[in-house]
Amino acid sequence: MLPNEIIDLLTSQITCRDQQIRALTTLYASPLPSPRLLCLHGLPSTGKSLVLTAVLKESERPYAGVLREVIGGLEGGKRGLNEGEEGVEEGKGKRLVLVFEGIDRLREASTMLIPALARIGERIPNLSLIFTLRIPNPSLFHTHIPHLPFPAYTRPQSLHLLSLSPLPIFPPASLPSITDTTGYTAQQAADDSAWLWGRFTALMWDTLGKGAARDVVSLRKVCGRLWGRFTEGVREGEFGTRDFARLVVGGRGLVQGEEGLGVGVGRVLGRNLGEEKKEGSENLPYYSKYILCAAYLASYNPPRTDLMFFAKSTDKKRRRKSYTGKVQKHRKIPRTLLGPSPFPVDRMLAILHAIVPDPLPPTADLLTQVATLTTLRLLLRSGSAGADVLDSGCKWRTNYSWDYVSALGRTVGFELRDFLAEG
Amino acid sequence: MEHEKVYLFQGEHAADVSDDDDDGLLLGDSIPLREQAFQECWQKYQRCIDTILENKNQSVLDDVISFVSSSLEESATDQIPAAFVVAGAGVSSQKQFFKSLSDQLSHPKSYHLVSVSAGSSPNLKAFLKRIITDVTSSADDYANGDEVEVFSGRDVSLLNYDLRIMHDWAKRNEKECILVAFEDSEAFDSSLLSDIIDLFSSWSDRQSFAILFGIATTAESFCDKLPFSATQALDARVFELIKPQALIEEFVGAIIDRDDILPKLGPGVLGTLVSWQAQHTFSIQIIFDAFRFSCLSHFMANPLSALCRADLTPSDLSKDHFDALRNVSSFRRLVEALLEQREVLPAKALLKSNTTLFEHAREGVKESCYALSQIGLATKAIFSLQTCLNKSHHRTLSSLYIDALGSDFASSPFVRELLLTIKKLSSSAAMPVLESVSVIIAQMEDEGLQTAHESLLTFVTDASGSSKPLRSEFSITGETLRISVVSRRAGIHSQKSTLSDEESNYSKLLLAFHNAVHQYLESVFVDPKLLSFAEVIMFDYRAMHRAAFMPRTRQVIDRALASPYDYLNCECCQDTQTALSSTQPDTSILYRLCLESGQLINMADLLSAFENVKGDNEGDDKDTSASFQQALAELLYLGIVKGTRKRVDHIARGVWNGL
Repeated sequence: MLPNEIIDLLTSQITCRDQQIRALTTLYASPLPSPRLLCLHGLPSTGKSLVLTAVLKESERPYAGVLREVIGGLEGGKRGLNEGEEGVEEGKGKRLVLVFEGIDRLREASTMLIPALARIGERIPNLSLIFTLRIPNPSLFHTHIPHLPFPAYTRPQSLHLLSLSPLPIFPPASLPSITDTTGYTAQQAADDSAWLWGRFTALMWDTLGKGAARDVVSLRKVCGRLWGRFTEGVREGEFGTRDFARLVVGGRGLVQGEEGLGVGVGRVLGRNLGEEKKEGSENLPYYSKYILCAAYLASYNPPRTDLMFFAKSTDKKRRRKSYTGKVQKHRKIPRTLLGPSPFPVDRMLAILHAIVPDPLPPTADLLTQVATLTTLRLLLRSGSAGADVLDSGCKWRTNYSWDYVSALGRTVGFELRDFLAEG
Repeated sequence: MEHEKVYLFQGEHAADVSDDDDDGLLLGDSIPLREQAFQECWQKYQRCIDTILENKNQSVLDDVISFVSSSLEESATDQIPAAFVVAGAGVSSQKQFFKSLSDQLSHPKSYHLVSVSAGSSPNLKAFLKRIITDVTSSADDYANGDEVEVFSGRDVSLLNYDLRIMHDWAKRNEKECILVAFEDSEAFDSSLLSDIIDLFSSWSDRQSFAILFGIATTAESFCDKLPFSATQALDARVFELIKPQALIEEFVGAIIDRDDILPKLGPGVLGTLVSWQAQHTFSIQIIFDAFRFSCLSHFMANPLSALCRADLTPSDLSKDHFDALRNVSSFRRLVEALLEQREVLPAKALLKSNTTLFEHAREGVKESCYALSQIGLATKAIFSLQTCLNKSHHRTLSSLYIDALGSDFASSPFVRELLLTIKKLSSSAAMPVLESVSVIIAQMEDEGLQTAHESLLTFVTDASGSSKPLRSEFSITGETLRISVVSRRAGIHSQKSTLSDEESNYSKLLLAFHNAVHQYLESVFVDPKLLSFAEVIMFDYRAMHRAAFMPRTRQVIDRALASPYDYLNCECCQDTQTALSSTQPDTSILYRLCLESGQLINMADLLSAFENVKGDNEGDDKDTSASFQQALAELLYLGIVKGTRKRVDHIARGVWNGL
């Protein structure tokens, strides 16, 4: 195929990337000599791989992708050479294009690996290399190589891309029954869906997408998550298909929360979005829960407040006294917002003795439980890894959030906030 | 764990030394016999546990497999199917689960399961090597060295952590999908996990992977540790395995009404195990190990447990055994009762003749075992009654059984209340209750109860067609709010007169059922300690269990340091067991001196006090100083004292009595 035909074909298939298609086609699909090395850069989901594979496929050049699965430096070099030599032999004189994707995300990459990769082309004739990466870094290559930018999609471009595949208001399964009873045709339904989808995506961009889901893939995910609940009113017959303003008022809760972004608890278990979290799913032993509470207190309370909170003689009224009223002179970041500080295990056990309601039985094997909690990574040992566990200098840290531990404390009837210095 | 604390070594001719009129057997000689009995008994218990675990795991297994296969079929998404198996913190029960999962997956042949644990894969390369070795299972080719090149059918050499090896292998063996199971997911570094997920998803266009996470805490808290990009690449669902507590309850339910397992689990050990699980331990396997241990200790510590064997003959037992049998309290009670009834001859026969005693003991053991299984059955009936009646104060089966093995359970407030509730049931409420216990009542050998239950059930079933449920006459009293006795009685009478004939018939039947249940419970719930040879059929050694599984390390060290005589049993300290004396070990002296002081201890004072105790010989300053140094170092190592920054020449005390 001639270069111009390829350009026409691809621009009709892939929108908003005309300039990049033109450049790549000129470089790799024309009879002109191709560059030894090219670097494509752009943020995630800006169409780098899509455009590149489409152009290479249409140009009928042999190409091979060495993807981001490469682990270490040596492996990267070996695979580059292997694939290159193999491909050039197979290609019988045709120029081979070798693509390294996500080259800035290499694991265990030495600083010399990427410059070395860039020079594979010098060793093997008829080989072109293409790197893709997220953000260009001049120090990455040590030499000057041509770059082709893939800028992020703008608002109109994003909305245009989303409008190419609108979701239906009425699920396709139930549509025939609606069209039969009301005379509302499938064509009308598709038109209404496209109209409402366009406005809805614009709304999503302006509210959630702009700040939290800028790239087109995640914006599409957000829209897909919330679309069903946004159009619920239409399906129930409460609103018309074009009552956008009233739908927005009805569904304003959707854009106020973080639910659509899929962060937080239900984000992985996406199937049960909107369901309540199951209670009592925590099944740690009774004393382990107290150990976690004590460890949290040891981690977030300064040691000098221990006497105030945990000494038996202290009157309950005196607790928190010196920490509530005073306004501190210089502003400090609250302790709870900082990371956990290390504590010796002695202090944690002493706090544990103070907070457990009944005296601990002498048979309680606390240290086994501490060890088990460590294998669960709820408690971490800080300091050098080889240090002796029995050494009194060995310190520990907690590895869980306030929400987790406060809920845990409540299951055994312990209110953690009463003992926290800066709750 | 023997019937004697200490043995005297007697050489090879030990048997000759024993009494002349003996048959040459000692109590200890029945140990092989008892060991066999233990093995037989434990096999039965183990089979119970295995059956429960298999049944419970099977449903989860099916769910997981169907989830993975269905998720792979909808290959439109590029997400990796990930099953979050919440298994509780007991890693051991998970191992069994993963093993049976791997067995089942190998049947369709298109899947392959690799299990990894955190210890074997500290980083990405090690992890990949591990799973590749596991898959290709030719360990010697890949395991040696760091980056050994291997040849895998291609004309290029691959590194031993290259997933292309796995891909080639899967193609050769026609494996559609590789499942990777993380047995203890929490112990993995979260960055390692996200790297693995990233790597798998980049391979998803050539080789499909599925992931299983075995989770000890909750799926939510595990997900919170993974980065956003990793969780987005997963198509996740949560599955829950049986929880340890539920497993124990199931186990108790499975064993208490069996009369073919001897000996039975006693209330003390059961209570200890249940509370131990709830309060201290993570692993269910440890609970069952402890259970096994207490069963073993029953056989090893109690020579009479040989009677648990079904094929025992009198010649297996020695004279000592029969003497012991005559000494147990339940036998004494029996003989005293016989004498009170003036039946001297049978009592005499029991006391004189070993054969008669043996036969009697066999019978007694059998009867008591049956009585115990009846107690178990009745407890199960009570449990299902309370579940059905939906009482607010819900009790577990194990706690009910523990109470039932005490005395006077039939007249306890709990049972009384339960019976009262039955009396007041309306016909619509009675229906599910009656149906729930019908299976258990059919097992009971009490005809009166069975007929009462049957007639009530048929009556209620017939009446269920009518629109209004039938009231019981005993429930009416609760509805009146009259103040004086006379007016209340008037109220009852007036309401009683409003009862229809059907309702009064129903009340009669209900009362009959209630009485039958009451009688049955009264007859079944006897004090198990009063059963004949209760010592043989129930194991309840809590002390032994505690000594083995709940060591009191702190107390032991305290005692060893505070009163070394208890352990050393030396002549020199015999007179001064409690007081400080120079003959005691140095560490012990220093420890007790520290206990007498305050929070900060002056070293000079301590040294002079130590020298005072150590004694008379003035000349050996160097020796005293050296032993002082050594004792102090030992206390430092034990953490009893430690250095302080508050004062240079002081040490801080770190240990207080009772803390």
